[in-house]
Amino acid sequence: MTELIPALERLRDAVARSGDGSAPELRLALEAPAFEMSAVSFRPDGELGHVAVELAEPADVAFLEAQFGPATSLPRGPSIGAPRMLLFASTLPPEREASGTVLAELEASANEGGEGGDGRGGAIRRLIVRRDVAD
Amino acid sequence: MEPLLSVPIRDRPHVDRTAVSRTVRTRSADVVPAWFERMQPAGNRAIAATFGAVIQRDDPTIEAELLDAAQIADARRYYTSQPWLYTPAIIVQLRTALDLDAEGGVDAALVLAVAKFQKEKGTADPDLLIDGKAGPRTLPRIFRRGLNIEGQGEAFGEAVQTGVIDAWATLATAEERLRKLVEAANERLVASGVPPVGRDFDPDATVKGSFDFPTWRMLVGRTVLDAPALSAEQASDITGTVYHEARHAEQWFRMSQLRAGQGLSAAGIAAEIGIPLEQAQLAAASPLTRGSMEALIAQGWWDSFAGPGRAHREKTLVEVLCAVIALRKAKAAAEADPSAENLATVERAQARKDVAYAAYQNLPEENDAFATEHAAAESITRGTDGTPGEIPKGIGECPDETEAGAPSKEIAPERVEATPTGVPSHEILPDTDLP
Repeated sequence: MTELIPALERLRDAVARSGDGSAPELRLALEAPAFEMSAVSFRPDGELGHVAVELAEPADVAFLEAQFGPATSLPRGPSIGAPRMLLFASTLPPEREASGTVLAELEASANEGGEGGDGRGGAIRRLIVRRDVAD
Repeated sequence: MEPLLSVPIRDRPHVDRTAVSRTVRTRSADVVPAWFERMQPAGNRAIAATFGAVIQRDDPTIEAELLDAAQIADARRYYTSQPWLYTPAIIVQLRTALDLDAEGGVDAALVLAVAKFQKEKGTADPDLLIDGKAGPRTLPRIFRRGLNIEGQGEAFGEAVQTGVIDAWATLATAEERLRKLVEAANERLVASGVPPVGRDFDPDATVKGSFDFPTWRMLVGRTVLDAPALSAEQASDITGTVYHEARHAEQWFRMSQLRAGQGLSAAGIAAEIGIPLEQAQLAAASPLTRGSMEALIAQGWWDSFAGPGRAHREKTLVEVLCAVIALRKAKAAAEADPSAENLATVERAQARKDVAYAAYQNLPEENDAFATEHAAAESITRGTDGTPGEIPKGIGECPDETEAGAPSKEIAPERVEATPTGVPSHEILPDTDLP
């Protein structure tokens, strides 16, 4: 677990720097033992869109918040079975910079659609590092 | 981990087109409708006097049995109790679109004209509720924009018919078929001022389609795209699905433009709605005008997605997933052992799913996307060459497992109406405050 944060920081940095997804540091970052599987996605214009990684060990929200700041629970996507997602808004880029914005997918957990919950229960096994560039 | 995204969204239940009130046309100059007379002893003089004046002044065609007096009064309150949404300018646009005199305000004629529209033109599955309230489900069907403008869906469907379905064998790979489908959707999106979506296969091959807003991509399962041949019905289904998901992309962009018009920066939109910064920046550069009809329509979607309707929406999405899974499991068990007990479980699970699916389709953004997809799906007239087979469905995983056939949660048939944050959505003013 302790290896996850440095691996994620390397990945965020590589995503921010690799406009077309071809930078060697991106490939190296994805080889970290903290990640079991990864997938690179591109935007319609061919630029790097995001990288999704499956974690070797599950993480919890508090652990990631300690590094990336408060997580916002996003409403579910418009489809049956859409997962719950968290956004670490502090990882969005400042003006005129690029960043690897961190999003986390929460695993299914009991009562996740029920009343009173904050929608943040459940382990995290999948993270998305999205390339965002601020005007 | 078994992915959650494993239930095709296009598993349609039987749609019960519940009969609506019989329409009786009467000319108000000659006849005072019975329901109007019934209002007098009820003591609501304000409504009666106002509506009587309408009848005498405007001589409208009355849909006498479409709504009763109480329903008309309720619908008028719906508008007048939300003056921040139903401004005089909005009411003028609504009246004009419904061929009423522009300056009549929120009168019974407006309510009845909305009800008439809902009855006569709100029948694209899912049907609109006939209540005289032009809320987040009815407004997008009166004021069409983007992908639901008449002709757009048909143009998409025809492009898919010739460019994808007729060329299925030539395109050969799932990648090429996906590329062509999403390109056709992007043509419509870009023409509507919406950023194009990316594309990818869904992690679950059996999922037909979804719009993934945090990555601005359309995801389609490989199973259907890998099929060697499609029947006309299967081809129509995938075409409707892709257009449905494209409409969601449009909705998410309009919501972002709405929030831009309400003062949010691009970073604020990206943080609140969760879309990529690039699309948030485009929305911030093209905000919806406050008080416009476009903004009111987008407000209805936002209220459901992130506003006062969010808890209901989350509950609805979980319940429909669990209900679909429970039905599949029950059917599998009954196939293996068609005992009376297993067949009864299937019946209960089917009833549960029908209720859950209706609630899902009643979410404003889903109601709109389902109504929008038909034009595209119905433009597909033939399948591919070759012999089509069955396209398998996944089972999926319910996060809140209960016994198959037993509803885990009751989903109230809630109507979430457009409301800005912090303002009660169903505040009812006393009758004396009616205009």
